[in-house]
Amino acid sequence: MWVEGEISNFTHHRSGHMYFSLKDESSTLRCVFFKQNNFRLQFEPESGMKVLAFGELSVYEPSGQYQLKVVRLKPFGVGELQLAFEQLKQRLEAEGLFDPERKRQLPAFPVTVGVVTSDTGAAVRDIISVISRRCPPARIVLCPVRVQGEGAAREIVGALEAFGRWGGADVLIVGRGGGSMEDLWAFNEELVARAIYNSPVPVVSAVGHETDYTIADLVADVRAPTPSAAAELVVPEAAELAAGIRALTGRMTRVVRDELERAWQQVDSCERGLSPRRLAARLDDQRRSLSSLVRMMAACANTNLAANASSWNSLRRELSALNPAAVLERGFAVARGGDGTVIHNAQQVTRGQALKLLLARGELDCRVEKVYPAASSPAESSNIPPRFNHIPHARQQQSGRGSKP
Amino acid sequence: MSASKKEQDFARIMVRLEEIVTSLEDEQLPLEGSIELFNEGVELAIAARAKLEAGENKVRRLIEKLEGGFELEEFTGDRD
Repeated sequence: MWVEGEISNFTHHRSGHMYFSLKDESSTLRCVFFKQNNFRLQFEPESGMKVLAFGELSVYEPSGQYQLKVVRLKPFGVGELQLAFEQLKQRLEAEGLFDPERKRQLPAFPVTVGVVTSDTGAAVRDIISVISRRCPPARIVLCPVRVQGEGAAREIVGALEAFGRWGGADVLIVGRGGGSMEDLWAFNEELVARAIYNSPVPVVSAVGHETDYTIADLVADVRAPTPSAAAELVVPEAAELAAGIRALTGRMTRVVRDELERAWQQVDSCERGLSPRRLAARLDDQRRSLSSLVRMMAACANTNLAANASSWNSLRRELSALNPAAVLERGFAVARGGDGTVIHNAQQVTRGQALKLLLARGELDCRVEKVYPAASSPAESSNIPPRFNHIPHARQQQSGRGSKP
Repeated sequence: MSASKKEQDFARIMVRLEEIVTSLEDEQLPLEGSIELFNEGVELAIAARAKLEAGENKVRRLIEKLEGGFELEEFTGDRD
Protein backbone atom coordinates (compact mmCIF):
# COMPACT_ATOMS: atom_id res chain seq x y z
CA MET A 1 0.00 0.00 0.00
CA TRP A 2 1.03 3.59 -0.65
CA VAL A 3 0.58 6.13 2.13
CA GLU A 4 0.88 9.87 1.69
CA GLY A 5 1.76 12.14 4.57
CA GLU A 6 4.16 14.46 6.28
CA ILE A 7 7.13 13.07 8.19
CA SER A 8 7.42 13.86 11.87
CA ASN A 9 9.72 12.70 14.68
CA PHE A 10 12.25 11.41 12.18
CA THR A 11 15.24 9.56 13.60
CA HIS A 12 17.98 7.77 11.73
CA HIS A 13 19.17 5.26 14.29
CA ARG A 14 22.78 4.21 14.65
CA SER A 15 21.76 0.73 13.54
CA GLY A 16 20.89 2.25 10.11
CA HIS A 17 17.13 1.85 10.55
CA MET A 18 14.89 4.87 10.22
CA TYR A 19 11.90 5.57 12.47
CA PHE A 20 9.28 8.24 11.89
CA SER A 21 5.58 8.99 11.83
CA LEU A 22 3.44 9.98 8.88
CA LYS A 23 0.79 12.54 9.64
CA ASP A 24 -2.07 14.31 7.97
CA GLU A 25 -4.54 16.74 9.56
CA SER A 26 -6.39 14.06 11.48
CA SER A 27 -4.24 10.98 11.86
CA THR A 28 -0.80 9.54 12.58
CA LEU A 29 0.86 6.31 11.46
CA ARG A 30 4.14 5.03 12.86
CA CYS A 31 6.65 3.84 10.28
CA VAL A 32 9.85 1.86 10.31
CA PHE A 33 12.25 1.85 7.35
CA PHE A 34 14.85 -0.86 7.83
CA LYS A 35 18.43 -0.48 6.78
CA GLN A 36 18.25 -3.21 4.15
CA ASN A 37 15.49 -1.20 2.45
CA ASN A 38 16.62 2.37 3.03
CA PHE A 39 20.22 2.15 1.86
CA ARG A 40 19.20 2.91 -1.71
CA LEU A 41 17.55 6.15 -0.74
CA GLN A 42 19.02 9.05 -2.72
CA PHE A 43 17.73 11.81 -0.45
CA GLU A 44 17.75 12.24 3.29
CA PRO A 45 14.24 12.22 4.81
CA GLU A 46 13.57 14.88 7.41
CA SER A 47 10.71 16.02 9.59
CA GLY A 48 8.21 18.22 7.80
CA MET A 49 8.86 16.65 4.39
CA LYS A 50 5.87 15.47 2.34
CA VAL A 51 6.42 11.91 1.14
CA LEU A 52 4.83 8.85 -0.41
CA ALA A 53 5.67 5.66 1.44
CA PHE A 54 5.12 2.18 0.09
CA GLY A 55 5.05 -0.80 2.47
CA GLU A 56 2.95 -3.20 4.40
CA LEU A 57 1.04 -2.73 7.59
CA SER A 58 2.12 -4.78 10.58
CA VAL A 59 1.68 -4.79 14.33
CA TYR A 60 4.51 -3.82 16.64
CA GLU A 61 3.90 -6.52 19.19
CA PRO A 62 5.50 -5.11 22.35
CA SER A 63 3.07 -2.17 22.30
CA GLY A 64 0.34 -3.56 20.13
CA GLN A 65 0.54 -0.58 17.77
CA TYR A 66 0.07 -0.65 14.02
CA GLN A 67 3.08 0.39 11.99
CA LEU A 68 4.00 0.65 8.34
CA LYS A 69 7.06 -1.35 7.32
CA VAL A 70 8.33 0.91 4.57
CA VAL A 71 10.19 -0.54 1.58
CA ARG A 72 10.11 2.47 -0.73
CA LEU A 73 9.99 6.17 0.04
CA LYS A 74 9.57 9.03 -2.44
CA PRO A 75 9.36 12.74 -1.95
CA PHE A 76 5.92 14.08 -2.78
CA GLY A 77 5.64 16.89 -5.33
CA VAL A 78 9.33 17.12 -6.29
CA GLY A 79 11.51 14.64 -8.17
CA GLU A 80 13.51 12.35 -5.97
CA LEU A 81 16.78 13.20 -7.74
CA GLN A 82 16.03 16.89 -7.70
CA LEU A 83 15.51 16.73 -3.96
CA ALA A 84 18.64 14.67 -3.44
CA PHE A 85 20.62 17.19 -5.50
CA GLU A 86 19.34 20.15 -3.48
CA GLN A 87 20.02 18.43 -0.18
CA LEU A 88 23.55 17.39 -1.04
CA LYS A 89 24.28 20.80 -2.51
CA GLN A 90 23.16 22.50 0.69
CA ARG A 91 25.12 20.16 2.88
CA LEU A 92 28.39 20.38 0.96
CA GLU A 93 28.03 24.11 0.59
CA ALA A 94 27.66 24.46 4.37
CA GLU A 95 30.76 22.31 4.75
CA GLY A 96 32.71 24.67 2.52
CA LEU A 97 33.38 22.33 -0.40
CA PHE A 98 32.37 24.97 -2.95
CA ASP A 99 34.28 27.87 -1.38
CA PRO A 100 35.80 30.06 -4.08
CA GLU A 101 38.90 30.65 -1.91
CA ARG A 102 39.87 27.04 -2.02
CA LYS A 103 39.66 26.70 -5.79
CA ARG A 104 43.09 26.16 -7.24
CA GLN A 105 44.53 27.84 -10.28
CA LEU A 106 45.16 25.63 -13.26
CA PRO A 107 48.79 25.28 -14.29
CA ALA A 108 49.69 27.63 -17.12
CA PHE A 109 51.76 25.06 -19.00
CA PRO A 110 50.62 21.52 -18.23
CA VAL A 111 52.75 18.78 -19.70
CA THR A 112 50.40 15.95 -18.78
CA VAL A 113 46.62 16.16 -18.82
CA GLY A 114 44.80 13.37 -16.97
CA VAL A 115 41.36 12.48 -18.29
CA VAL A 116 38.68 10.62 -16.35
CA THR A 117 35.81 9.64 -18.64
CA SER A 118 34.51 6.78 -20.71
CA ASP A 119 36.96 5.52 -23.33
CA THR A 120 34.14 5.32 -25.84
CA GLY A 121 31.89 8.17 -26.81
CA ALA A 122 32.16 11.74 -27.88
CA ALA A 123 33.71 13.23 -24.75
CA VAL A 124 37.04 11.43 -24.97
CA ARG A 125 37.25 12.00 -28.73
CA ASP A 126 36.57 15.71 -28.34
CA ILE A 127 39.13 16.11 -25.59
CA ILE A 128 41.83 14.25 -27.50
CA SER A 129 41.22 16.13 -30.73
CA VAL A 130 41.19 19.59 -29.13
CA ILE A 131 44.37 18.98 -27.15
CA SER A 132 46.18 17.48 -30.13
CA ARG A 133 45.30 20.47 -32.25
CA ARG A 134 46.06 23.18 -29.73
CA CYS A 135 49.09 21.84 -27.96
CA PRO A 136 50.98 18.97 -29.58
CA PRO A 137 53.58 18.74 -26.79
CA ALA A 138 50.94 18.02 -24.13
CA ARG A 139 50.62 14.40 -23.13
CA ILE A 140 47.19 12.90 -22.53
CA VAL A 141 46.79 10.15 -19.97
CA LEU A 142 43.39 8.53 -19.81
CA CYS A 143 41.93 6.54 -16.98
CA PRO A 144 38.78 5.07 -18.54
CA VAL A 145 35.68 4.68 -16.35
CA ARG A 146 32.01 3.99 -16.76
CA VAL A 147 30.20 7.30 -16.45
CA GLN A 148 26.68 6.08 -15.84
CA GLY A 149 24.82 3.23 -14.23
CA GLU A 150 25.54 1.12 -11.21
CA GLY A 151 29.11 1.49 -9.95
CA ALA A 152 29.98 4.50 -12.15
CA ALA A 153 30.56 6.81 -9.17
CA ARG A 154 32.94 4.29 -7.58
CA GLU A 155 34.94 4.00 -10.79
CA ILE A 156 35.20 7.76 -11.14
CA VAL A 157 36.42 8.02 -7.56
CA GLY A 158 38.89 5.19 -8.15
CA ALA A 159 40.33 6.98 -11.19
CA LEU A 160 40.64 10.30 -9.37
CA GLU A 161 42.43 8.59 -6.51
CA ALA A 162 44.71 6.70 -8.89
CA PHE A 163 45.76 9.99 -10.50
CA GLY A 164 46.36 11.38 -7.04
CA ARG A 165 48.65 8.48 -6.12
CA TRP A 166 50.42 8.51 -9.48
CA GLY A 167 51.30 12.19 -9.25
CA GLY A 168 52.26 12.51 -12.91
CA ALA A 169 49.36 14.63 -14.14
CA ASP A 170 49.41 18.40 -13.92
CA VAL A 171 45.67 18.84 -14.31
CA LEU A 172 42.64 16.52 -14.57
CA ILE A 173 39.54 16.66 -16.73
CA VAL A 174 36.58 14.74 -15.29
CA GLY A 175 33.37 14.45 -17.22
CA ARG A 176 31.18 12.99 -19.89
CA GLY A 177 28.94 14.03 -22.77
CA GLY A 178 25.31 15.07 -22.44
CA GLY A 179 22.44 12.95 -21.13
CA SER A 180 19.40 12.94 -18.88
CA MET A 181 19.62 13.83 -15.21
CA GLU A 182 19.69 10.09 -14.46
CA ASP A 183 22.56 9.60 -16.93
CA LEU A 184 24.59 12.36 -15.30
CA TRP A 185 23.75 11.21 -11.82
CA ALA A 186 27.17 9.77 -10.93
CA PHE A 187 28.48 13.36 -11.03
CA ASN A 188 25.94 14.33 -8.37
CA GLU A 189 27.06 11.74 -5.89
CA GLU A 190 28.69 12.69 -2.68
CA LEU A 191 31.65 10.36 -2.98
CA VAL A 192 32.54 11.83 -6.38
CA ALA A 193 32.26 15.33 -4.96
CA ARG A 194 34.59 14.41 -2.10
CA ALA A 195 37.10 12.72 -4.38
CA ILE A 196 37.25 15.88 -6.51
CA TYR A 197 37.62 17.97 -3.37
CA ASN A 198 40.44 15.78 -2.09
CA SER A 199 42.30 15.47 -5.38
CA PRO A 200 45.87 16.75 -5.04
CA VAL A 201 45.75 17.64 -8.75
CA PRO A 202 43.53 20.55 -9.88
CA VAL A 203 40.30 19.31 -11.46
CA VAL A 204 38.27 20.69 -14.35
CA SER A 205 34.74 19.30 -14.55
CA ALA A 206 33.06 18.86 -17.90
CA VAL A 207 29.69 17.22 -17.51
CA GLY A 208 27.05 17.20 -20.23
CA HIS A 209 26.06 20.38 -21.98
CA GLU A 210 26.30 24.03 -21.07
CA THR A 211 22.96 23.95 -19.21
CA ASP A 212 23.75 20.95 -17.01
CA TYR A 213 24.99 21.81 -13.54
CA THR A 214 26.14 18.99 -11.29
CA ILE A 215 27.63 18.79 -7.82
CA ALA A 216 30.92 17.85 -9.49
CA ASP A 217 30.83 21.20 -11.32
CA LEU A 218 30.33 23.05 -8.06
CA VAL A 219 33.22 21.40 -6.27
CA ALA A 220 35.71 21.31 -9.17
CA ASP A 221 38.43 23.95 -9.34
CA VAL A 222 37.08 25.06 -12.70
CA ARG A 223 33.82 24.13 -14.40
CA ALA A 224 33.89 23.79 -18.16
CA PRO A 225 30.56 23.80 -20.00
CA THR A 226 31.51 20.85 -22.23
CA PRO A 227 34.38 18.37 -22.63
CA SER A 228 35.81 20.27 -25.64
CA ALA A 229 35.70 23.49 -23.66
CA ALA A 230 37.57 21.76 -20.84
CA ALA A 231 40.31 20.73 -23.26
CA GLU A 232 40.63 24.33 -24.47
CA LEU A 233 40.80 25.56 -20.91
CA VAL A 234 43.58 23.29 -19.74
CA VAL A 235 46.16 23.61 -22.52
CA PRO A 236 47.55 26.79 -24.03
CA GLU A 237 47.77 27.17 -27.79
CA ALA A 238 51.31 26.12 -28.72
CA ALA A 239 51.40 28.49 -31.70
CA GLU A 240 50.58 31.40 -29.39
CA LEU A 241 53.34 30.41 -27.00
CA ALA A 242 55.84 30.27 -29.85
CA ALA A 243 54.74 33.72 -30.99
CA GLY A 244 55.13 34.97 -27.43
CA ILE A 245 58.68 33.66 -27.26
CA ARG A 246 59.48 35.32 -30.61
CA ALA A 247 58.13 38.61 -29.31
CA LEU A 248 60.23 38.39 -26.14
CA THR A 249 63.36 37.60 -28.15
CA GLY A 250 62.65 40.56 -30.39
CA ARG A 251 62.39 42.88 -27.41
CA MET A 252 65.68 41.63 -25.95
CA THR A 253 67.39 42.08 -29.28
CA ARG A 254 66.19 45.64 -29.63
CA VAL A 255 67.44 46.62 -26.18
CA VAL A 256 70.87 45.07 -26.64
CA ARG A 257 71.31 46.50 -30.14
CA ASP A 258 70.46 49.98 -28.89
CA GLU A 259 72.85 49.65 -25.98
CA LEU A 260 75.65 48.49 -28.25
CA GLU A 261 74.92 51.45 -30.46
CA ARG A 262 75.29 53.80 -27.51
CA ALA A 263 78.51 52.12 -26.39
CA TRP A 264 79.94 52.57 -29.87
CA GLN A 265 79.09 56.23 -29.84
CA GLN A 266 81.20 56.54 -26.69
CA VAL A 267 84.02 54.69 -28.37
CA ASP A 268 83.69 56.95 -31.41
CA SER A 269 83.99 60.07 -29.34
CA CYS A 270 87.28 58.78 -27.90
CA GLU A 271 88.48 57.60 -31.24
CA ARG A 272 88.28 61.09 -32.64
CA GLY A 273 91.30 61.82 -30.47
CA LEU A 274 93.24 58.84 -31.82
CA SER A 275 91.80 59.41 -35.23
CA PRO A 276 93.77 57.35 -37.80
CA ARG A 277 91.42 56.36 -40.57
CA ARG A 278 92.60 52.78 -40.53
CA LEU A 279 91.32 52.35 -36.96
CA ALA A 280 87.99 53.96 -37.71
CA ALA A 281 87.40 51.52 -40.55
CA ARG A 282 88.32 48.61 -38.36
CA LEU A 283 85.94 49.72 -35.65
CA ASP A 284 83.13 50.21 -38.15
CA ASP A 285 83.68 46.68 -39.25
CA GLN A 286 83.42 45.44 -35.71
CA ARG A 287 80.31 47.43 -35.04
CA ARG A 288 78.65 45.79 -38.02
CA SER A 289 79.64 42.31 -36.95
CA LEU A 290 78.40 42.98 -33.42
CA SER A 291 75.00 44.01 -34.65
CA SER A 292 74.75 41.05 -36.91
CA LEU A 293 75.84 38.78 -34.07
CA VAL A 294 73.00 40.01 -31.92
CA ARG A 295 70.61 39.45 -34.80
CA MET A 296 71.97 35.98 -35.45
CA MET A 297 71.58 35.01 -31.83
CA ALA A 298 68.00 36.17 -31.80
CA ALA A 299 67.31 34.24 -34.97
CA CYS A 300 68.89 31.26 -33.30
CA ALA A 301 66.31 31.46 -30.53
CA ASN A 302 63.43 31.72 -32.96
CA THR A 303 64.36 28.86 -35.20
CA ASN A 304 65.13 26.35 -32.49
CA LEU A 305 68.77 25.59 -32.94
CA ALA A 306 68.86 22.99 -30.21
CA ALA A 307 70.54 20.63 -32.65
CA ASN A 308 73.02 23.33 -33.52
CA ALA A 309 74.22 24.20 -30.04
CA SER A 310 77.86 24.60 -30.99
CA SER A 311 77.23 27.42 -33.42
CA TRP A 312 75.13 29.14 -30.78
CA ASN A 313 77.98 28.83 -28.30
CA SER A 314 80.53 30.29 -30.66
CA LEU A 315 78.18 33.20 -31.39
CA ARG A 316 77.93 33.80 -27.71
CA ARG A 317 81.67 33.76 -27.17
CA GLU A 318 82.20 36.24 -29.97
CA LEU A 319 79.60 38.58 -28.63
CA SER A 320 81.22 38.85 -25.23
CA ALA A 321 84.71 39.22 -26.71
CA LEU A 322 83.62 42.03 -29.00
CA ASN A 323 81.87 44.00 -26.35
CA PRO A 324 83.45 47.48 -26.45
CA ALA A 325 82.56 48.22 -22.87
CA ALA A 326 84.42 45.19 -21.58
CA VAL A 327 87.67 47.05 -21.09
CA LEU A 328 86.14 49.94 -19.22
CA GLU A 329 84.08 47.48 -17.19
CA ARG A 330 87.29 45.95 -15.92
CA GLY A 331 88.15 49.28 -14.30
CA PHE A 332 90.21 51.04 -16.94
CA ALA A 333 89.53 54.66 -17.83
CA VAL A 334 90.29 56.82 -20.83
CA ALA A 335 91.88 60.19 -20.06
CA ARG A 336 91.35 63.06 -22.48
CA GLY A 337 92.53 66.62 -22.53
CA GLY A 338 90.27 69.61 -22.95
CA ASP A 339 90.40 69.34 -26.75
CA GLY A 340 89.46 65.66 -26.64
CA THR A 341 92.97 64.34 -27.28
CA VAL A 342 93.54 60.99 -25.62
CA ILE A 343 96.37 61.24 -23.10
CA HIS A 344 99.03 58.53 -23.46
CA ASN A 345 101.95 60.20 -21.76
CA ALA A 346 102.16 62.15 -18.52
CA GLN A 347 104.28 64.72 -20.31
CA GLN A 348 101.30 65.65 -22.51
CA VAL A 349 99.83 67.50 -19.51
CA THR A 350 100.91 70.12 -17.03
CA ARG A 351 100.04 70.70 -13.40
CA GLY A 352 96.62 72.27 -12.96
CA GLN A 353 95.35 71.21 -16.38
CA ALA A 354 91.75 69.94 -16.68
CA LEU A 355 91.20 66.36 -17.87
CA LYS A 356 88.15 64.29 -18.69
CA LEU A 357 88.08 60.64 -17.53
CA LEU A 358 85.75 58.26 -19.41
CA LEU A 359 84.63 55.38 -17.18
CA ALA A 360 82.46 52.35 -17.89
CA ARG A 361 79.56 54.46 -16.73
CA GLY A 362 79.81 58.19 -16.89
CA GLU A 363 82.67 60.68 -17.12
CA LEU A 364 84.69 62.71 -14.62
CA ASP A 365 86.12 66.20 -14.89
CA CYS A 366 89.52 66.19 -13.12
CA ARG A 367 92.41 68.48 -12.50
CA VAL A 368 96.07 67.40 -12.51
CA GLU A 369 97.70 67.75 -9.08
CA LYS A 370 101.14 66.52 -9.96
CA VAL A 371 102.88 65.14 -13.02
CA TYR A 372 105.22 62.13 -12.78
CA PRO A 373 107.03 61.87 -16.08
CA ALA A 374 107.58 58.39 -17.52
CA ALA A 375 111.29 58.47 -16.79
CA SER A 376 110.63 58.37 -13.04
CA SER A 377 108.01 55.61 -13.38
CA PRO A 378 108.91 51.92 -13.84
CA ALA A 379 106.32 51.47 -16.59
CA GLU A 380 106.94 52.42 -20.18
CA SER A 381 104.53 55.04 -21.38
CA SER A 382 103.40 52.85 -24.27
CA ASN A 383 102.35 50.17 -21.77
CA ILE A 384 100.09 52.32 -19.72
CA PRO A 385 96.72 50.58 -19.76
CA PRO A 386 94.16 52.98 -21.22
CA ARG A 387 94.88 52.02 -24.79
CA PHE A 388 91.40 51.64 -25.99
CA ASN A 389 91.97 50.25 -29.40
CA HIS A 390 93.85 47.04 -28.86
CA ILE A 391 91.03 45.01 -27.25
CA PRO A 392 88.55 44.85 -30.10
CA HIS A 393 91.44 44.76 -32.50
CA ALA A 394 92.75 41.45 -31.18
CA ARG A 395 89.40 39.83 -31.93
CA GLN A 396 88.80 41.37 -35.24
CA GLN A 397 90.32 38.68 -37.38
CA GLN A 398 87.91 35.94 -36.26
CA SER A 399 84.79 37.99 -35.88
CA GLY A 400 81.52 37.42 -37.66
CA ARG A 401 81.71 35.76 -40.99
CA GLY A 402 84.15 32.95 -40.21
CA SER A 403 81.63 31.13 -38.06
CA LYS A 404 78.22 31.78 -39.44
CA PRO A 405 75.97 28.75 -38.93
CA MET B 1 56.62 12.98 -10.74
CA SER B 2 58.77 13.60 -13.74
CA ALA B 3 55.89 15.05 -15.71
CA SER B 4 55.17 17.60 -13.00
CA LYS B 5 58.78 18.57 -12.93
CA LYS B 6 58.82 19.14 -16.68
CA GLU B 7 55.77 21.34 -16.41
CA GLN B 8 57.55 23.49 -13.88
CA ASP B 9 60.57 23.66 -16.09
CA PHE B 10 58.65 25.22 -18.93
CA ALA B 11 56.80 27.55 -16.59
CA ARG B 12 60.04 28.55 -14.92
CA ILE B 13 61.70 29.19 -18.27
CA MET B 14 58.86 31.47 -19.34
CA VAL B 15 58.83 33.36 -16.05
CA ARG B 16 62.59 33.90 -16.15
CA LEU B 17 62.48 34.95 -19.80
CA GLU B 18 59.87 37.59 -19.03
CA GLU B 19 61.90 38.78 -16.06
CA ILE B 20 64.95 39.16 -18.26
CA VAL B 21 63.11 41.17 -20.89
CA THR B 22 61.62 43.43 -18.24
CA SER B 23 64.95 44.11 -16.56
CA LEU B 24 66.61 44.72 -19.92
CA GLU B 25 63.93 47.22 -20.80
CA ASP B 26 63.37 48.89 -17.46
CA GLU B 27 66.68 48.86 -15.63
CA GLN B 28 69.71 50.84 -16.58
CA LEU B 29 72.14 47.95 -16.62
CA PRO B 30 75.78 48.27 -17.63
CA LEU B 31 76.33 46.85 -21.10
CA GLU B 32 78.18 43.84 -19.69
CA GLY B 33 75.15 42.97 -17.59
CA SER B 34 72.76 43.46 -20.48
CA ILE B 35 74.75 41.14 -22.68
CA GLU B 36 74.89 38.54 -19.97
CA LEU B 37 71.12 38.72 -19.58
CA PHE B 38 70.64 38.67 -23.32
CA ASN B 39 72.74 35.53 -23.49
CA GLU B 40 70.70 33.87 -20.82
CA GLY B 41 67.48 34.99 -22.48
CA VAL B 42 68.38 33.61 -25.87
CA GLU B 43 69.39 30.34 -24.27
CA LEU B 44 66.03 30.14 -22.47
CA ALA B 45 64.13 30.99 -25.65
CA ILE B 46 65.92 28.16 -27.42
CA ALA B 47 65.10 25.74 -24.61
CA ALA B 48 61.45 26.83 -24.59
CA ARG B 49 61.15 26.40 -28.36
CA ALA B 50 62.68 22.97 -28.12
CA LYS B 51 60.07 21.98 -25.55
CA LEU B 52 57.26 23.30 -27.70
CA GLU B 53 58.43 21.32 -30.67
CA ALA B 54 59.23 18.14 -28.80
CA GLY B 55 55.75 16.73 -28.35
CA GLU B 56 54.21 13.89 -30.24
CA ASN B 57 50.87 14.05 -28.44
CA LYS B 58 50.47 10.34 -27.74
CA VAL B 59 47.48 9.26 -25.75
CA ARG B 60 48.27 6.84 -22.95
CA ARG B 61 46.23 4.88 -20.54
CA LEU B 62 47.03 4.89 -16.83
CA ILE B 63 47.25 1.42 -15.37
CA GLU B 64 47.74 0.75 -11.70
CA LYS B 65 49.61 -2.49 -11.23
CA LEU B 66 48.40 -5.04 -8.70
CA GLU B 67 51.80 -5.14 -7.04
CA GLY B 68 51.70 -1.37 -6.73
CA GLY B 69 53.09 1.32 -8.98
CA PHE B 70 51.80 2.54 -12.31
CA GLU B 71 52.45 2.03 -15.95
CA LEU B 72 51.36 3.82 -19.09
CA GLU B 73 50.05 1.84 -22.00
CA GLU B 74 49.46 3.23 -25.43
CA PHE B 75 45.81 4.06 -25.90
CA THR B 76 44.52 3.27 -29.34
CA GLY B 77 40.79 2.78 -28.76
CA ASP B 78 38.25 5.03 -30.35
CA ARG B 79 40.40 7.62 -31.98
CA ASP B 80 39.48 8.94 -35.37
